[in-house]
Amino acid sequence: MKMLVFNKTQLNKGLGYFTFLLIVLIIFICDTTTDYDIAISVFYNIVIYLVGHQASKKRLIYIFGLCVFLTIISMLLTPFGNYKIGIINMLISILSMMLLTSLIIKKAQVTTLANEFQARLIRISRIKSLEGTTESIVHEINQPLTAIRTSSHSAQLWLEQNPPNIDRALKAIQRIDHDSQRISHIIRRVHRLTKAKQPELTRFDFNQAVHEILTLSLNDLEKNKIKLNDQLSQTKIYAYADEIQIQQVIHNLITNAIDALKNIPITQRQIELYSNQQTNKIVFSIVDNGHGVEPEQRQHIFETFWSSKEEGIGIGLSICLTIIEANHGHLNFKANPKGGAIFSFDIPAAKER
Amino acid sequence: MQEKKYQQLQAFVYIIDDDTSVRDSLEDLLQSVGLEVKKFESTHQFLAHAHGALHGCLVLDVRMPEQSGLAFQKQMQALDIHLPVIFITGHGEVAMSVLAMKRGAIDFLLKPFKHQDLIDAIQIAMQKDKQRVMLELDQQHFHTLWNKLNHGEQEVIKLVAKGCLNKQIAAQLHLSEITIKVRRASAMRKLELNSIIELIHFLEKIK
Repeated sequence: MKMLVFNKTQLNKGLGYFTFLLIVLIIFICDTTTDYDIAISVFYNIVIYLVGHQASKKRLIYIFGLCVFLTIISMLLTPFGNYKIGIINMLISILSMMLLTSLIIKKAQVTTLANEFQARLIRISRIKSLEGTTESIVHEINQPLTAIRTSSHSAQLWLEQNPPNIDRALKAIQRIDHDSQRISHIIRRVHRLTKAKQPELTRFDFNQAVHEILTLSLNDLEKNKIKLNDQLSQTKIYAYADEIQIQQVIHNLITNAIDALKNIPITQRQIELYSNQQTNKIVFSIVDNGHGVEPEQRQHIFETFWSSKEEGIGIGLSICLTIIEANHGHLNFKANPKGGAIFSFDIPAAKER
Repeated sequence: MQEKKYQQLQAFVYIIDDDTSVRDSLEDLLQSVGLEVKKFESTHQFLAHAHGALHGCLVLDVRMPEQSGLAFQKQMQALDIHLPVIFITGHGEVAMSVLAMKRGAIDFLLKPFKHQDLIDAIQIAMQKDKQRVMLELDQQHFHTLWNKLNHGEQEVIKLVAKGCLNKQIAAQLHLSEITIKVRRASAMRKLELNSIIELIHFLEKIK
């Protein structure tokens, strides 16, 4: 005998539809065999409701059509009862089914729209979180750019001398090449920050990734006179996740910490970074001694649109949560007993080679 | 004047910038126009290596990790460093540039700047520094001359500058007119002066 193998979802789906049709059949029989006064066909709404959650719009309309059809047939086949009441009951049933079906379709449309908007807002928030780093980026790019302009001019001057100093001109041109590469490196790094992708899981040096993304915040840290306490693990630890996305999260957390310290006296501002490996997880924490999060708001901070900042749109943390979870990790918040906040996340550690 | 002495002094363009590419390219540019350059990656390194009298000018970055250029400019007075300052910066903040100029900077250039702007600013700065140094050398020279006079000659010559006649000076100092005439002539000779007007100018300069 041939063995037909289904995968689990197909099997479930198959059973599901079978169950629905069974229920439809039961309702049909009940409807036909009871008298006109009882509008059993209203129960078709149950089927429509249950199907509505899983099926596509087309399928839903077919089911709706089937139920309406069966309601009419039932009415015609029912042997007893007041005919007028029967008609009215039939109309009630059909009307309720129409309303339910259209509501379900409407809901699906609204959900799609909401998802679209959230995706857009997530993109905006990513770009907004870059604003703080624009100064750093401008500064970083201006340095090699200045050097390139200067070197190209000096190359000209060396060549205009009598006799031309080819050696110095060549050195200047080599510097131009080196500095151009520096710029494209920076641009590539910044560009990656604005892209949205499915996680590309790779093995990477976690502490190195932290240090790399830190350079974008150095300017802000310095401007706000924040002391950075680097307590990352002494040994190298390797994570298995999407490096760029994890860097995005870290950058977001650092930016939040910097913001939280704005009202703290200048001499006391501090941010601490910790990382270590715990069995098969990499754990990272960022501690600030800022104004912290009010106890009653703590459960809300990861919600979309929640924000304690007047100008914030409160999407940063919910995105961080999404990213960490997409990378098979956990993100959580704890109050700092010394005042302020502790944000930490864990992600899978890379397996030993 | 002291032109010869000035030529003996070496004037440098001192560059302080934390970015290696910028430092190296600037050094190359300035050398290609014939300037002598010394470069440093921080103000601390500069202070550690720059000894004695500094001549020339300073090209200074504003945002640097250890000490900012602006903070250093403020400190220079206390450190008795009188080099004219030209700021180069990757950030353009009006408040920052106004402050720098108020404190006497020659110019405030935004990166990436036009090299000609920098070279022009350096020429102005070097000229300004040259004037300052020449003035100092003159002062030194005049003081040297003045100290050649003995006390008596100094007394007499001060009164001559006031417009007193020999007779009046003699009476005031209780000396003979001859002594006055001798001291006066000797003083004028030692001071290398030819007229009372020159004398008056001289005394004003050494005040």
